[in-house]
Amino acid sequence: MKLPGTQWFQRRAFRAVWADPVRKVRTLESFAETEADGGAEIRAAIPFAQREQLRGHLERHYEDEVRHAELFRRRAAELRAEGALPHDEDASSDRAFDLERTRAGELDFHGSLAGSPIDEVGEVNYVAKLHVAECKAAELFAVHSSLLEDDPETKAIFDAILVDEKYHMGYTGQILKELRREGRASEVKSALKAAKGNRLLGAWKRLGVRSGAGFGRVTMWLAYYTIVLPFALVSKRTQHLSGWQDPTDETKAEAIRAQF
Amino acid sequence: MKILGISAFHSNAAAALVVDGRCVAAAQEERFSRLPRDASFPMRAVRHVLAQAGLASEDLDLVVFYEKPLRRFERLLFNQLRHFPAPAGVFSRTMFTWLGDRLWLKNRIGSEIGVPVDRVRFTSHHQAHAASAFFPSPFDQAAVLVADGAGERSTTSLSRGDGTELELLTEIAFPHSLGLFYSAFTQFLGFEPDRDEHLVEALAAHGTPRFEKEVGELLRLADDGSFEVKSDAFRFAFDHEQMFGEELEEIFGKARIPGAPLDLTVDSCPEADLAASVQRRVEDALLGLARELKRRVPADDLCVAGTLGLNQTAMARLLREGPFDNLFVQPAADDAGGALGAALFAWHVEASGGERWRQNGALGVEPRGDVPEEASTFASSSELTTAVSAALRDEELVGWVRGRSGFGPGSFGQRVCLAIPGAKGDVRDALARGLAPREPFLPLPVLVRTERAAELLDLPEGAAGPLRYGQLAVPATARLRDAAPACVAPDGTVRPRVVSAGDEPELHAVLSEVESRGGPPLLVELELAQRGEPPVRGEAEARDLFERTQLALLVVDDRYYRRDGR
Repeated sequence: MKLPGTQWFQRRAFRAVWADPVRKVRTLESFAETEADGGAEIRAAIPFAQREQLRGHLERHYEDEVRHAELFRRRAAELRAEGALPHDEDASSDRAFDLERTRAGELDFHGSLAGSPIDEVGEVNYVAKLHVAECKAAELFAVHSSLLEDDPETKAIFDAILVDEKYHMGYTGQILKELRREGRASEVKSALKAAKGNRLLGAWKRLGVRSGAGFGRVTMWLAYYTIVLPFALVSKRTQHLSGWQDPTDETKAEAIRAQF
Repeated sequence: MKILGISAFHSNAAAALVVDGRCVAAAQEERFSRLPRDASFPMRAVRHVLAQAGLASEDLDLVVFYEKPLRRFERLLFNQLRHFPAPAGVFSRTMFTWLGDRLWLKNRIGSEIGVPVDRVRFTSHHQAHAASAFFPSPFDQAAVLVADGAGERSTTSLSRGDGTELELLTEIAFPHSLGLFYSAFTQFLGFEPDRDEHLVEALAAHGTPRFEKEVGELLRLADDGSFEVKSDAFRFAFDHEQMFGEELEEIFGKARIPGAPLDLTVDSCPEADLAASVQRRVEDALLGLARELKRRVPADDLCVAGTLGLNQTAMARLLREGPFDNLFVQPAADDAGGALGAALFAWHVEASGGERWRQNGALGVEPRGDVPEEASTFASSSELTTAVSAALRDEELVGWVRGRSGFGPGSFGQRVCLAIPGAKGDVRDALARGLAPREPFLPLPVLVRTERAAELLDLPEGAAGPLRYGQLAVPATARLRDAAPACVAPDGTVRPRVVSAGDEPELHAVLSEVESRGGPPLLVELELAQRGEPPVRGEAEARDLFERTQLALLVVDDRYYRRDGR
């Protein structure tokens, strides 16, 4: 696949990722989660697809996503086993904000916003969203593949997945074309526009979360060993309360207004 | 008055809508997102319960969250400071989450749901649990026990319920928690904490409690019913990813690697023996709590909520050996039920009219969608009964979707797979092939008619209520052991749900028909779900599952689907 010239920035950023063994493992693990989340979303959409043809495609798409997740997960595990990551390295720390909500997928699925299953947004919007997401994923995976000449095992994974991504782009494009032929061209157009808009918003949010998480983590580390330290030393002298305690809750209308 | 209750962020997020004191709908987020035990902010569940009542968010008078966020933050902060410097990494993550999001929960609730922030309220975690146990119960006065992981500060609480009043009497503070103690051992035994506790309970039935003394040192019980966890042996006070400390490995050997094989054929499987010891000790602690509660509240009836309410073996022992005559366990005893409890608590505090709503039947999601062309319709309920019982007698698997789904971890007869514990191979293998594989040590729940319950089950007094929701593990009689050996655990217990003609007439009729035609007096009942997934929500998902599995017949209310060529 020909790489657009506008991807020079991504190539630089990704080259740095793949050159760093720790970030490489983290990225592969993150891709595994993203693919698994995408699979779960597609799996949830299958029963609500009205077109028989779309149901069939989604079935295969779901299986592809599950397989991709497994490929990424296995490769990351191999690299971990080879000692690429220190044992106590926390691979999920940069997604702490999402993980605390236990929805790592809130901003994921190939960069589009999750939380728009087919029964809520409708078939046209859903297919448009898939199409835009798959086109972007294919583009990005091609970039990743081109940067992994020195790691043929990982490169082979991206190349295999790229074949599937082309199929995903193809079937979603075909269904959108059919919808246009059915006289729903304006609906398709606005759905594609909305999907692209959502991608930009998703990218912006991701950037915010990741940079915020990184900055927050460093700040909190510093705070823990400086500002917090004296309080910690005092707290360590206290004992946990044991046995029966008087309750703190009150059964009054005013009491349930308070957050404390 | 229209009150929306919400629980979120820990496990099994949910929403419940209470209109004039009556719960009109309640649903868990996982049923919509399809992520098991989804804890994210339950917007889909909120949309569903509002739609079910034909309301918009601006119609809501109050939105009640089931926890006091600032009080929880204080506990988290204190414990992270107290264990300095161990939780440095956890601290940065926790603070980032709280400072960036949770501390502003009131605004988040307002903006996500679309209500003014002055309509947002907060009950405490234990108030919500206690309210979910007492207010919907059939009792006018009762003692209320909440045995949970952790709320804001308390982990266990005793309350008195009287009419529309609920008074919290006393509590045990974090980190002394039976729920977290059990979860830490769940993780130690190679299972997922806060999800697989039922596996530890099932594993316990295969072991003998030979580690009771060692476990007893880690969970000390006092004469006044209180207990103390040896907190140095655990890390859950500041770290939820690794809940047990090194001391456990020094006492019991290396923690089991998740997925490592369990050899239950040997005389003494150490994992099963440890599970049995932990189970036994936690049951003893619950009995101590119940006795203290009886001393403080001399009522005949007990209401239970909190995650330990889901422990069927412990609940059965509480009923059999405890001081109370009757038991009501909130079917959604975990955090999902907190949404219901928060809304009911706010109703009784802010606008009680003196009447209490009593929980009876399913609160969840209707099967929905247009009737597909390939669906056939039963002409009468007798035709339905005949078709289902015929398929079961042929030792086929039948999917059963009826009315609204259950609220809580179980499916309670609304979204289930039925099978006969028959002779064509092992029913466990048939279910594994046809629906989803289960851990080999996990017993198969059974469905029994009320008329047959005394003959098949050794029931404690007052078991009728909990058995309707399948909340007890009780000894099987010889008749049941002969009829369904695959459903009986090595300790001789089964997990039954008892069906009455009044509550579930169709299912009751199927059981009668199967037996009258020479079949066994019971059926196997599993959640209608594939492994690792929540139960199906409605018709569309049930049809999808039907196509993926080997169910021979799927019944959705009065419609049905048969496998091609049959």
